[in-house]
Amino acid sequence: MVQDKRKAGMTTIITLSMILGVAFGLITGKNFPFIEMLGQLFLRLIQMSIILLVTGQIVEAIGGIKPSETGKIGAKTVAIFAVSTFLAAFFGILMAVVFKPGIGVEISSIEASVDVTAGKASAIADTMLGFFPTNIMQAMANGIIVQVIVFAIFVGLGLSYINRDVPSLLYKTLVDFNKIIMRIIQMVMYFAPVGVFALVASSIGKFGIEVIIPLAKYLGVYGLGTLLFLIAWVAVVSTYTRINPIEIVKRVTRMSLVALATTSSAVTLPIEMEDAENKLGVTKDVNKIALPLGVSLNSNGAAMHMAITIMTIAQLYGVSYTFSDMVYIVALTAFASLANAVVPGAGLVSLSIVVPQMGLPLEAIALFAGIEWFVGMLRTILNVDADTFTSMLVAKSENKLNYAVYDKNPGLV
Amino acid sequence: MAQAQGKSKKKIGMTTWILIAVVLGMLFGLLVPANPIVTDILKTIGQIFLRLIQMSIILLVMGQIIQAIGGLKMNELGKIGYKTLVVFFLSSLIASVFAVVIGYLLKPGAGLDLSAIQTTVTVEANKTTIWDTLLNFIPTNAIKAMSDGNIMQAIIFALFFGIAISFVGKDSNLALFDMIKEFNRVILRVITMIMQVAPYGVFALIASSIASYGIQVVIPLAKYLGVFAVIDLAFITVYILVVSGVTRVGIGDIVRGLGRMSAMAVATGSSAVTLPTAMQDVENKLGVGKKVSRIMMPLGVTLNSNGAAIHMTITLITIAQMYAVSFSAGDILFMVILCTLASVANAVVPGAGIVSLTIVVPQMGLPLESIALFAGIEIFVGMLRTILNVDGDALAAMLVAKSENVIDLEKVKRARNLSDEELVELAAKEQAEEEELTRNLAPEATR
Repeated sequence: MVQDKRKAGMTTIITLSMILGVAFGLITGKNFPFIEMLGQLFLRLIQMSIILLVTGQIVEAIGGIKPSETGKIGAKTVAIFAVSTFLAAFFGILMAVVFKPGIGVEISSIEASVDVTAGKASAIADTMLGFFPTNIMQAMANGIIVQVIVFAIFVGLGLSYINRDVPSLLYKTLVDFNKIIMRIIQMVMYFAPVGVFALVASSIGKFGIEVIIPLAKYLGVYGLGTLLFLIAWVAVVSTYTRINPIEIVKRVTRMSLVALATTSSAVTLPIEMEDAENKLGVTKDVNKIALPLGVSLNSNGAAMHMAITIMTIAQLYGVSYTFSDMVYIVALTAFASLANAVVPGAGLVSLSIVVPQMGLPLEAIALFAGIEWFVGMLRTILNVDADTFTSMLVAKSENKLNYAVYDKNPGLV
Repeated sequence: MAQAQGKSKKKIGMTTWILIAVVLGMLFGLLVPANPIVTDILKTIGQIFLRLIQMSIILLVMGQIIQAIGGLKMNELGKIGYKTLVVFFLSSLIASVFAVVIGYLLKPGAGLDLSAIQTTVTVEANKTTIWDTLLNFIPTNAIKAMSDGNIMQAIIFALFFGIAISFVGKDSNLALFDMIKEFNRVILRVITMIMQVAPYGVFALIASSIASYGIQVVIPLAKYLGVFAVIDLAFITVYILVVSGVTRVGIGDIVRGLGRMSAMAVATGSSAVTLPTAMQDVENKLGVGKKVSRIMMPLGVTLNSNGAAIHMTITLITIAQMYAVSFSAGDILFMVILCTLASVANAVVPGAGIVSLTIVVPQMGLPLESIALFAGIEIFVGMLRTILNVDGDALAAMLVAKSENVIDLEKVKRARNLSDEELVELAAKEQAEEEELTRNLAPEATR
């Protein structure tokens, strides 16, 4: 809980910094190289650990899968995780393409400076080929996130076998290593108020106050997207389990509110598990596997966030993507959602992972730093609810859904 | 002990061999008529030696810093860090001042026959701003920094990593940290093995570099090189006297301790490659405590370049005198500060001298093309620059160690009679004993 307060405190400070940054940029009306440098410094500090963060988190998450979790329940859960995450990313892109939050204000026209499929033609098959690394060290050095993630998934799987019966020394060392990397990011985040101030001030100084407008549009579109996706989830679950959708919504409300308030899937987990069992009828054996697994492996909210933000930034810079590029974005953000950073400002970290991959300048995430709080809320509620809905689907398919709880009034439970 | 002393009285120590190799290499290169086949063979041998050391540098630097910082408390790190930066900055500043004084006394650029110097290089203007330079200290990708061999960026990441370990590992024994310590021992062992052939490598490097340049290139700029060497000598003499007085380490001991690293510096022209040797000798022969040397020496490779400060200052003065440009007192002050700051930013590879000049020459209103004049003697300039960069790091470490009370005079005395290999063995043994001790005293892991 103390960590909660600290996290909330930091997020508030970051929001304040954004406001100060806007004020500063407005008043001075120009961009100071020193301030711009501070902002860039902050971004670099986040970036430097990204490759190690992504690799380590994914290998640990998958490597720590216990044997019980690899049974039928685990398999179904992961399958639904995968499908829903890809769909969430796709939906994010769809919302951005339809509602165009970034159009109208052009920051500057740049050509996507990097051919995102590493020099290959824009055919889907080539895009998919590009997911697999030829040399992992090279992939890491060049920061090709998707390739690094693919490798990490396989290493994680291998590690999970070895780690099965006897706790492996490698695994323990990896856990330590991840703690260190996480600590580094936490330390960097202490610098966030200055960094965000600098980034926002220099953006406003360079481009004027109009850049705020797309932000508001973005938030609206993203919020709408989250809502629609949640409705879709409820519809699917309701149809499959034959439970009244209104009931589902009523019973999922408490965990959703906790998710919104704490912006942390991990903190919400206990409530989530309790309500999933007592209010939604997911029996313990499914509950115990699916939900904790979901905290690390399933992040529909993160995937949608990254996808929609990439598209918005692209629109701001006048960059247009081909269909294959968008397929790549879906895969990139779905994979990247596997890497969680449990820090205040996790949204910024996620963006640092994926934005440079699409040839967009990293400074672009500067503006989004200010609305980190809202973003965190939207990410977490979708992350948490999707985990719960997945567990309901899996439970139903294993006949482990306890319909008796629905005879009780949710308020009384 | 008696047996060890007997052994080294009969053998010539490794350090002496390396110094002999330097002298022989220079004589060979200057006096023996240039034979392309021989020069090629020597060059290859020398380069192989260089590469053998280079291959481990990034891992060495990062490992040492992580281990050093990971084991420190935060306030200790703060104190050492602060003192380090102060000593680095002041020594580079004073070095630049020395260059100004001697440069104006001896006037290396006056009466220089410009037409005698062949220029084979065209110099491009340097467009990096100071903001870019500062920004570039921070890596965008830790692995890429390692892959590119960007020492500064690797150090910055290692700093963060070490600090994080110091926080996270506070209450529990991190298996990761133990692994890193073991890894460092291995890397040092690798380098010690390679240093066994140092005399041959050093001879080959120096002989081939000098042979391929020949004496003709040097003559027109001989006065410049001579003045540069005088400044080096003056600065290091004063520095050694100061350090000897402050730390109470004898002048003879200091000179002996600096011997091996100086030879390597001259032979390789790279502070980074000389680092492993410098670290070992600073600890074993100059008595500097590990917790200071392991942070300061790697940091000193990039941040402390007394030699570069001197180089840039004297070159600017020489160019000004060549073109009969005179500087006001204000200009000179600006120049000293400029060169001091630029010496922080310069890269650690051989040949970086020209790049540093492209930054400072235009700042003083001097023509960029004048830099090309010095390209021909870069090898010799590099020697004069690197030797002071490296020795300056070591002397700075001694000063900070003294202020932290970690100068071990016993170690210095002991080093008088032991050979290099024996010193390394001893150091390794002491380290293993130390770690046994801390492991037994450490609290149980909380897992």
